[in-house]
Amino acid sequence: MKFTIQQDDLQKALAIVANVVANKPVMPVLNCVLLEVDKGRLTISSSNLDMSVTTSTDKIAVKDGGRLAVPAAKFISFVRSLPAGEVVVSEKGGRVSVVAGKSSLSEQVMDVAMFPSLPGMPEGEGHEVDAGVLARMVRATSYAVSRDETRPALLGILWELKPTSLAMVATDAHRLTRIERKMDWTVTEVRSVIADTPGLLQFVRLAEGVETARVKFGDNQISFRLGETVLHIRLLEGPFPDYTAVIPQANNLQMIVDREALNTAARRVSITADRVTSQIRLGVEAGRLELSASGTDGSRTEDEMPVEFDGEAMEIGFNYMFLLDVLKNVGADTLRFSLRDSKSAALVRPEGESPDGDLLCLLMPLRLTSE
Amino acid sequence: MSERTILHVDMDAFFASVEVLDDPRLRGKPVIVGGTPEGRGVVSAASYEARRFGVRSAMSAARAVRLCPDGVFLRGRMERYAEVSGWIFDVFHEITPLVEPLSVDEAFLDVGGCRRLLGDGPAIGRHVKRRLLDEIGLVASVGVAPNKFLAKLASDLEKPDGFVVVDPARIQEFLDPLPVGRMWGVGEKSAAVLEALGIRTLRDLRLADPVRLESRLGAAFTRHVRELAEGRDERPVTTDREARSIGHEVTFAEDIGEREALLEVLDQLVHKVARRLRRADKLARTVQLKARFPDFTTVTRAETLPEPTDRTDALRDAGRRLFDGQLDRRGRPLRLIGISGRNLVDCEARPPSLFPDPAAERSRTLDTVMDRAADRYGGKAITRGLPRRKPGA
Repeated sequence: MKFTIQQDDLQKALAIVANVVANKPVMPVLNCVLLEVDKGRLTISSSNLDMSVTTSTDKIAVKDGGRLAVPAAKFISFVRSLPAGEVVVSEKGGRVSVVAGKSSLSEQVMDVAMFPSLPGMPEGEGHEVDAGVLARMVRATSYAVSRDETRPALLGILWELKPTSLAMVATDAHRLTRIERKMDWTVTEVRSVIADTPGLLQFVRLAEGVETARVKFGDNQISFRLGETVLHIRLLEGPFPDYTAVIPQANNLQMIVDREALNTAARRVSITADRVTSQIRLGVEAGRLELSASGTDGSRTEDEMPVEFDGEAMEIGFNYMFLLDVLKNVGADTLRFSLRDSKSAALVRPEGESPDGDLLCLLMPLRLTSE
Repeated sequence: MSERTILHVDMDAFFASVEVLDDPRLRGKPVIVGGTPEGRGVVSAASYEARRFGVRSAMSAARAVRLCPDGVFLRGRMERYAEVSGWIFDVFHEITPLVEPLSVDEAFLDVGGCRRLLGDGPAIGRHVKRRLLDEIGLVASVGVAPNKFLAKLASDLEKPDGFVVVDPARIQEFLDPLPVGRMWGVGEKSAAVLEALGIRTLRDLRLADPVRLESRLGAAFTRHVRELAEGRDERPVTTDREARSIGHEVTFAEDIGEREALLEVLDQLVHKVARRLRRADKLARTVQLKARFPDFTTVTRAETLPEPTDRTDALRDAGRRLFDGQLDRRGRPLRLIGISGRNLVDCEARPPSLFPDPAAERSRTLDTVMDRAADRYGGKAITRGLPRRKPGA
């Protein structure tokens, strides 16, 4: 193999695959990036078994084609350190050499036959989608994903596919977020899949500045094509719990709050929240909301803010981190909290028109500790 | 502070004694629990007959086999020991609510409040010893003293079947002849430093020049050992309900490198911690693994659990993850291993779940059933006075 490429083209391509390279892989070859030169194109791939990514460019001058498994870390660092200009990559006798002017790196390559064969995704396959919308939906839900590895299904985000809509749902069993957007796409069946979260977050990174993407739903994976880049992420085994059964229907107490004001107050009050339970207390009555938190050391913070509320006064306790997550991730200035009592889950939705379409968050309360 | 009465109760060769209790044919034989006759694993208890051969708990089974080739080596039955432990603590709790467990078979009891009901400290001490023997069939060593430090020293002094009372008026007389290594917080290293200063007994320490001590040991440690040498120890008896962490650790008689053996010990420690958490109605949010290497460097590695728990399996998994993933042992053997549940929350503060996990529920049920069985049989045995074998009977 031997080809010439501009430093910034190579660096851009490597940046796409760099953080998919496995860290401490079971298969040592997954420490490598795969370079393939064929028919005037350079294709670079990496995989960590949870996901794989492939990107390609024709902005190269080819002397010889071929395939190489190059250990990623030093190669990528070296290319990043180079100034703009021409870079020559070649292989001889089991070693790769990277030369730019007087600078050069050479190191041993690994057996390219060991590199797992990655599935492709031909152009034109899959459904065309607005990449920004998908990325926003992932961002709006991913914070609620569980990290409890004993419940693998909750480590992913549920995608509910319908011919006219897409919904994403994430939960860690203490809170839940669901976002649904109308879709004008070519999906014809109704189907649910659970997509692995790290892969989806990788999609979000790759979708930066990209307008349209194509998405294809396989049996074991979701594949995305963003221009010259293809990302495959793994699906998790279900079942995902029946979340529709836990969405409260009878929460009759309505509290309308300014998101930013509540965020500021909750942050302030959380200063004295118990380090272990993270509990803050919300007491709401006509026109006002009181927030307070008591530390085990006797410290206490209180705050108060105006809200729209005309039900019977009530108190409810939340894990303040969960509450702040909701406030941070709902894209609306005003929120509606639908409450029932101190033991029932609270429902939070954007109030009025929201760019997020149909978004809801469910927050389980903490049992109020006596003060 | 008014005069306190503290008991330290420590069962003699607990695991081995339970084995003898369950199989009288073992009586008088060197019983070694933990490890195999092939010399794998670690000794977790040795009967006094085995100790005559030099076998000690926390010693590798390989060494125990060399010292005592005819020993009866038993695998160890943690469930059974936990069950009997439940009976023992039932007895403690019937005497006073102020029980501080140190282990499955060892506790401090603050009996200051029950002197009027049960007599003075020595009378209560004898009462505890007799009940453990009559109702369970096991022998305990008991120390009675005005504080925890003295009570623990006392129970250890005439083991097995010890009963030592430290008269508050004669504390100095009791302490003075003891070697410094007996002090709480003084390990081999500090003992060596003290000996280098010519300080071998607590009397030497009491009379030593504090300035000279401070220059070698630091101010805080000097104050600590001097207070102990004078028999002062204000630490209250802390029940698990108010504890900030619940943990167990073991220092090996010689360093252990074999992963399987270390994990076996870790499992036993986890078992103890989990049961104590459940008894105290506490959940641990954080699991901390402690390890000491042969060069005495001590490391702790902690994992914050996604859910606070008192489940044996969840704690064990976390302990193993820390052991395999965080310890960075690089093949080095360990001198000490320990595990604790930290950041404890009350059971009732368990965050409610939208989707209860069936697997977790099953595991919790299993734990509960085992705990209840231990408690119930313990209760029955005590209230109905089931016939019990007594040592020597």
